[in-house]
Amino acid sequence: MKKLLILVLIISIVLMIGCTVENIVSNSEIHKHNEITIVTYNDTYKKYPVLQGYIDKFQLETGIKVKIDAIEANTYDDYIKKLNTKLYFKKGPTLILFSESENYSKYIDNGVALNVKGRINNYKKIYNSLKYKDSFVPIGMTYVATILNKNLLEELGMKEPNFNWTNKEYLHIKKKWLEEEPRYFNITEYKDIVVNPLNRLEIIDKDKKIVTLNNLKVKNVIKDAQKKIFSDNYIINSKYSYMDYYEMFFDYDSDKYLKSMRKDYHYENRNKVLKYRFGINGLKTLVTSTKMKKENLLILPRIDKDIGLKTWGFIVNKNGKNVEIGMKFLDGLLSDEVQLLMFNFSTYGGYPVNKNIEDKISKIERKNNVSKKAIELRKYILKKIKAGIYKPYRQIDSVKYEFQLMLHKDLMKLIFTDKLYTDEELSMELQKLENKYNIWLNE
Amino acid sequence: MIFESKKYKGLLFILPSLIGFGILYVIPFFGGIKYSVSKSSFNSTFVAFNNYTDVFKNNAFKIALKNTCFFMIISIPVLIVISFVIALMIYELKAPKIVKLSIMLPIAVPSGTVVGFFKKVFGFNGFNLIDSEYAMLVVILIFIWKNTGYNLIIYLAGLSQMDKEVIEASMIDGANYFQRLQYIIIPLFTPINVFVAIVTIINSFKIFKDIYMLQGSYPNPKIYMLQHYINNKFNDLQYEKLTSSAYIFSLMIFVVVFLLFILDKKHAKRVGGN
Amino acid sequence: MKKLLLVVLLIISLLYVYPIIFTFTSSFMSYEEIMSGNIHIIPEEFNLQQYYSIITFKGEYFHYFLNSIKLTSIIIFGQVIIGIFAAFAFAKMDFVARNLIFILYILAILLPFQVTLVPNYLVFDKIQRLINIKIFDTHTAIILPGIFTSFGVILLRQFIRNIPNEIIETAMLDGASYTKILFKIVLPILRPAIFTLIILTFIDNWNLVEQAIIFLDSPSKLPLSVFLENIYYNDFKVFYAGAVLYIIPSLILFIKGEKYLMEGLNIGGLK
Repeated sequence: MKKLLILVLIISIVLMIGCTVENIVSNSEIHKHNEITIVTYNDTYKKYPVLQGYIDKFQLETGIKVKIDAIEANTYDDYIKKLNTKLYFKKGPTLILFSESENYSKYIDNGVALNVKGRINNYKKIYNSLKYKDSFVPIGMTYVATILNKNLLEELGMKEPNFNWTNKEYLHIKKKWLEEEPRYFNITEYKDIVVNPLNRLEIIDKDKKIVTLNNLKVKNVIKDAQKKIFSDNYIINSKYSYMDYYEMFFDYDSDKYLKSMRKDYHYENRNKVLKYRFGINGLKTLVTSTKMKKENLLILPRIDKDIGLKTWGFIVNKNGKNVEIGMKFLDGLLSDEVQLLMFNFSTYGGYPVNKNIEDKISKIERKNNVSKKAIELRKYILKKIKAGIYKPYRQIDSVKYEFQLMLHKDLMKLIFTDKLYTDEELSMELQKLENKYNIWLNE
Repeated sequence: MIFESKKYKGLLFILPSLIGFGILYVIPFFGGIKYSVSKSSFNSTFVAFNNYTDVFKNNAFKIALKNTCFFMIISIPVLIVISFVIALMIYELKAPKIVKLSIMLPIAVPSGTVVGFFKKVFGFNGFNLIDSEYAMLVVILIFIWKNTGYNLIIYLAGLSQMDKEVIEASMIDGANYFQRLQYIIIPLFTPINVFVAIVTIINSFKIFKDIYMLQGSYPNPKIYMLQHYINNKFNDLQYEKLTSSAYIFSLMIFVVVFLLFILDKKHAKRVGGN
Repeated sequence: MKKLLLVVLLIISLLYVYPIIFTFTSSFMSYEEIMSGNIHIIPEEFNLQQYYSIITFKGEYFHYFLNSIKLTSIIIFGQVIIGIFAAFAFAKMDFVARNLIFILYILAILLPFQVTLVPNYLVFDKIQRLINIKIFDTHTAIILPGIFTSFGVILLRQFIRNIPNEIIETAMLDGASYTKILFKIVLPILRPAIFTLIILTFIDNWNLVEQAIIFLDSPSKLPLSVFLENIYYNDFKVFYAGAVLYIIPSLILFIKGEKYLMEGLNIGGLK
């Protein structure tokens, strides 16, 4: 009786496990020898037509399977969790794809990435400014240039700024523009009024690991911003609270966001906007040239030099399977012909990071009658990249930029407050934020 | 004791559980220790207790530990008392079903709804406590609201399993209700109280999810908990810091649990168990 | 006095249920009404918009629902069976290293789950290589830890401990075996405890999110809890209707299980 019961018990356990094992797979399927895996967040890889085309070609030519592990996650945080778990695997994913908006530095600093110097032939062809500890392999880059409305400039009787323009020049133009008539308040204006002045203050000291926020300078920015935003210069919805502004700036599904977009250059208000909300990749002359000609736009390098440049590319996982094949895969992506292809794709995928093909690009430009101005802009940006002035700081120096984003989101609460804070209250609120950031920085 | 002749019989009974538990829980438990004495997540050089001392020196960890301890010391006893009293009331008054259901339901509610509601009441448009000095109050409230039902279920089952003859006997002795409670019911409840305490500790970790959905990875410093620290360390790939901080914390909890366990054993002696 | 206490109890229960009523009525509000910031409990107009879009546009909702049902029911079944045997042994049988093993049982579930996450992941990987079954991205990865958690063992052990030894000793003297005692004597007394375990295991696993996110890759295998979170983050407009549907199985379980919870066999009756 007893033995029977225990037997039944064991059988039921086995059955239970058995019926839940969806598929019993053979040995070869678990550890494949001829396969590399690329991890991406949702379907970011689809943003890069050149990558998709290359994967097909690579699979055909070498017979090696390239598996894309597109992790679908509810939030980016969930994705990071999942990705991190996979990295502890003995034979984990081979490559990790990072898009322009992702930070890769912590993966390299923590020793996940393989040093590829000397192991990928074409790696030496990459612009030096784009490299990070010889562990990140960039494939394409984007320099988000500023777009100004040339018609409007002429109307205002302003002189066209040149590539070396300064913040002072921009503010001058803007003052004139605001004097003309009240303008819609939107995130571009918010950035000009709050974000940029704040970024210029030295709030975070990464070496000493200190954030100092509760001081006169920050308070002045806040007070000054409130004065500017709630002046006659802007058309403001008086019913909007802090939450509404938050949605308008950051919640891309919200009505408020869409409404603000509509008021922007996209639709009705197009002719009246001075600086466009979305920039354009200044390196892609095939696109910028037509834009300049057709829409009479002025495309300029950014005033804030540090945040224009972004790259997308890969990290080779030290614990990954078949890393040698993975590096061969990347080598091909960096080759002259694949890189050149990227220049031809007018929309997505960025500009080649391979510096050896500049002549070939010039040839294509000549063939397509690209305007002189567009070429000048491209060359100007490349010069700055070669000189090491433009770098993908945003992705490398993630602490600083993560901090800035956090700060701007938090400060909105203080700026769009219903009742104005007294000096003392403002100090208290800033102190609270300061404490929070210090925890974050010292974690 | 009469069972002694069959000393290994018990092992057979726990064998299925032991195998699974051993593989899925005990091995990882010790596997985690290996990480805590490694140089970094991806470099297994042995560094002894360096990570532990690093974690101890860390300011964020200290704040997190302080907040978590404060939260647990206040909310766990309060929750246990509240749920026990409510269970007693329901049992003694034979309360209608709807009362039981109302108190049990919050445990079935997903975190999102809790957050949706509490954000409206205590958030920016409401009392705005969540950004203030008293944010911990909101967290404790959510915790108690959410978990009373959990403990209530256990207590109700315990009450219905109680030996009613003992209680009836004491009634004949003329003991009033509170004497009965103090000398008979509560001692009888020791094993269940021990279990409720353990479960409440486990559930108190889960409050992180609600705070996270309310305020993200870096909340108001007043409610920055150890789970935030652990969670952020995981995202930053610093598994060595994560594990060492968790083991420090677990050691502290273990002291408490060990005391509970001794209490449990004492009780067993009193009722004549082994 | 009794009536007064009953009123107090009713007020308390009203406080507990208020946020749920709020959820329930919110599910009948239109998108615009939900998005407007102020708290109100009665919808301006009764509206089935949310339910309609869940049923039509989010047909997958029921697919995830079934996933969750499958996961939780297997876990409950396994945990109860394994738990009963182990708990009985821990409570009433004597064997080597009993207390030590039991302390380990407590310790291991007290660790935050992130700590054992990576080692657990590596253990699964080992098993996968050793016996050639796929664990990652299958429900097994959720079910196995769910079944073998020590939660049920500890719960049942504490309840069995309350059963006086004399009952068992008498039965033993009559020549009954352990298995017989377990099934004939302990189980009937244990009924409320087992229902407690069923309800609590259901709740814990129905609400399980993190493990599912980590161990399951294919979106089609995810449980409802993860999908609901997706709605929360990406489609808040229909969240409340989703939440109400999400609560229903628990509600049914509470209504059905509640009476078993209270109708245990009295220990005294066995003597």
